[in-house]
Amino acid sequence: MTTQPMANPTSLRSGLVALLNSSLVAAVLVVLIIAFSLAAPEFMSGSNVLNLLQSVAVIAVLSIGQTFVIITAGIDLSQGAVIGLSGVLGAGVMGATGGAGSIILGIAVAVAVGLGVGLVNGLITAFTRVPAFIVTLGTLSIASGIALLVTGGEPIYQLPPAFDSFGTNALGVFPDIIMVSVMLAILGQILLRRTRFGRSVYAIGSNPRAAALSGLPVRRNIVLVYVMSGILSAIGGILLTAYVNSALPTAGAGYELDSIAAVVIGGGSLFGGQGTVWASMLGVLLIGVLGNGTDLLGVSSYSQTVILGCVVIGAVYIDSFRKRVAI
Amino acid sequence: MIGVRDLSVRFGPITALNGVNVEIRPGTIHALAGENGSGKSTLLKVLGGAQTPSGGTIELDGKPVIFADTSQATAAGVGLIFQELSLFPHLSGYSNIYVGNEPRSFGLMQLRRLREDAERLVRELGFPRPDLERAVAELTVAEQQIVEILKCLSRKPKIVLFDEPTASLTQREIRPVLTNMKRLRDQGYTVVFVSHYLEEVFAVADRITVLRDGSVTLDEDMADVDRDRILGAMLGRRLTEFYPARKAAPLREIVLKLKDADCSGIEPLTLEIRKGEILGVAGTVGSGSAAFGEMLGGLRRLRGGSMALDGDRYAPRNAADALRAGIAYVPEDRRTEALLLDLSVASNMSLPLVAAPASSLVTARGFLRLRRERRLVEHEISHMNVRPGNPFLPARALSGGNQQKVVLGRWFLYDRTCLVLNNPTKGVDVGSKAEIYKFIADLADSGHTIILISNYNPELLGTADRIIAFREGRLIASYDRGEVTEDDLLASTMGGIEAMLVEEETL
Repeated sequence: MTTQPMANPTSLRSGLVALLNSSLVAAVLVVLIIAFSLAAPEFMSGSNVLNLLQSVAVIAVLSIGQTFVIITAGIDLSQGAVIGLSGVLGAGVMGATGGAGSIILGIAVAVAVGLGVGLVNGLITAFTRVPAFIVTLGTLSIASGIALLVTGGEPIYQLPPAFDSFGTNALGVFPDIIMVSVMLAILGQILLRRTRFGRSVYAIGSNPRAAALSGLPVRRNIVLVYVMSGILSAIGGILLTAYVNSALPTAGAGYELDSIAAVVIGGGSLFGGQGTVWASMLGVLLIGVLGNGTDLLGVSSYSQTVILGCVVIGAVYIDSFRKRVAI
Repeated sequence: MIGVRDLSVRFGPITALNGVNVEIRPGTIHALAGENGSGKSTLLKVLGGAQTPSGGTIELDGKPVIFADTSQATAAGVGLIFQELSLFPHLSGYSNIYVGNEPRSFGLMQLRRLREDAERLVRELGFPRPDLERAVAELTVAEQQIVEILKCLSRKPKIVLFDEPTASLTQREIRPVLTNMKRLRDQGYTVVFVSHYLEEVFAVADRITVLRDGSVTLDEDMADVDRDRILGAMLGRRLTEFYPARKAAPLREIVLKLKDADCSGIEPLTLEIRKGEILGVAGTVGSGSAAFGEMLGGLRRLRGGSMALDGDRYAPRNAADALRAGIAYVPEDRRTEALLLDLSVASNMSLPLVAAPASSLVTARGFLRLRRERRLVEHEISHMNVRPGNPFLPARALSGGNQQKVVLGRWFLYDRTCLVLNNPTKGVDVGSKAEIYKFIADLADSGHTIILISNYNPELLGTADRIIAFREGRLIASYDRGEVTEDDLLASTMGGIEAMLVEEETL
């Protein structure tokens, strides 16, 4: 007996699974979007939607890395500091060298900074008994200190014009900054769910001992996850610098908290083994919609912070009732 | 005297207990037995007030009682000791015994009285005295259990209920616990306990009640029953062959050759293991039997001597090395060492194969072949008879026996020539145990080499082609199938004096 599958059952199934997994966040998101469009008609206007997406593009990129780290039962608090350090060093190199190659050189320097910080985070977390929370708290302090030392606390404005326009330029409909983050999110989700590396990340987060006994290189993969988070933070730093047309040593301060919030809202568990990039992106959108919508309604940014805090706790509370489909 | 009358417990559509009637006589040890899901633990929980019944009554000395919670049961003289010890690991033994119940005056704890009370309790019971000054986390599991018993007894119960008191203990630790239960009975307490192991039921119980699917299938004095009748009542059929017959004999070909090999925990040993052989490894905890397995599995470094696998030098530095060479180590503790509890049955089963170099489930670029994975896993789930058979269920949701089948299923998917199994049937229900023995025999019949480490001698005698015994880090004996009795094996693993003590105790 032979059967001709009409569609790929695995991808259909896992798509459904992913949707179900994040359905509560998705539902809340839809409700919020409807509510804000009714309360503030300009919410759904093209320019506002672009504005909203641009405002969360950097957090989205950070959340991809944070998702991987959190699934291994780790955490990366150094993301915001890496934004600051990679931003000022990258921008500094661009300003100092000038010429056609300066942008590429600057980006390379920024990425190298992210890679370096990630490597330090990963090596210490994987090979010592110092918890990731402490390691990355330390590198947060170190990276942000170096950023301030290098710049003397001053912002860097001198950027090549081509780089300046990158933040707002449009490739087709969407500004480049949105395109970059969407593409990275798609790649991240594929890496997480469709590759051996992604499966290892889940296995290590769920039970590192069992992963090792099954033959997985646990330490190497932990290092890779932090390196990935560092590089993505550096890309975030490049995007942010291009978006605001300047590099500030403290530009990324607190961004790591938003990325952690996004992952957690999306159902990632700080105990590891759970979370997807898609779900984290829904968390990012929820944070963006809340901020933008309440802005339009004239809610002060101070109150917004209070609301976001309530949403994070509420999301995790509701999540505890959810019946999950296991990866 | 406790009377259970027409007791029922339902969880939604599921009936856990259905019209159960049991009499528990004062001053006896009463065993509740049955497979996982038979309702034995539920019955114990109802007796201890941890579960309210849906129908029927419990009579205590002729008066009907309904316990809304465990504290009401405690007040009525019924103490329940849970399977997972519920001690505070950082507090001392003394503090644990009286936690929430400390002798007080003017709101201050009277530490000296607390100590005196505890000492008196220990003296009265004649228990071996654990160091009650230390944090209980520093005590052995058996000592912790004594603290737990003292905690229960400090509330002055007449009836003490144990929920699988030996499930997490090694054979050496089990004996003192059983002795303690006898001491309690001899002091006039009534003891009710739930057990998976018939050996311990025969060792201590005066009466047994067997449950199957929520109903009583056997309720007799121990003097009137034998092992076969109890197993029959548990399984609903007579067990003709609990241990499967081997279809093939071990081959002549030597797979694994150890020459003066040693690692931390064992002294140099020389040994040849053949293809298709089930090599039983006996020994108590700390005897070196587990260290031997870990050395083969790449978890302990070879310190001296040499090992050869299929003629090639074998010196693994970690589990991945051992797997590449063809030896898989299956650890003793499923939950903490083998399973990814929150991940699906499918991801759990395919993990070693996914992790393998040149895996059939992974493309050259590192992408997973998800459809093939799904097909292989579904086939393996039905082959291993994992229930429920849903590949998307998290491993956490399965019973111990089914979890172990998932763990073993890995090595049918990722075929390794040699498997080192460390206590593969620990905490597994009787039905799944029989299935696991069959899978082990199947693997050996198909030419795999099995190294079966067990603290449970009967299963070694029932399944192994050859048994080697460890004591104090030394390989002390090697017996071919049928060459050794359970008593001999016990004597060689426990050593002369200890074995004599055990015999005295069990008499």
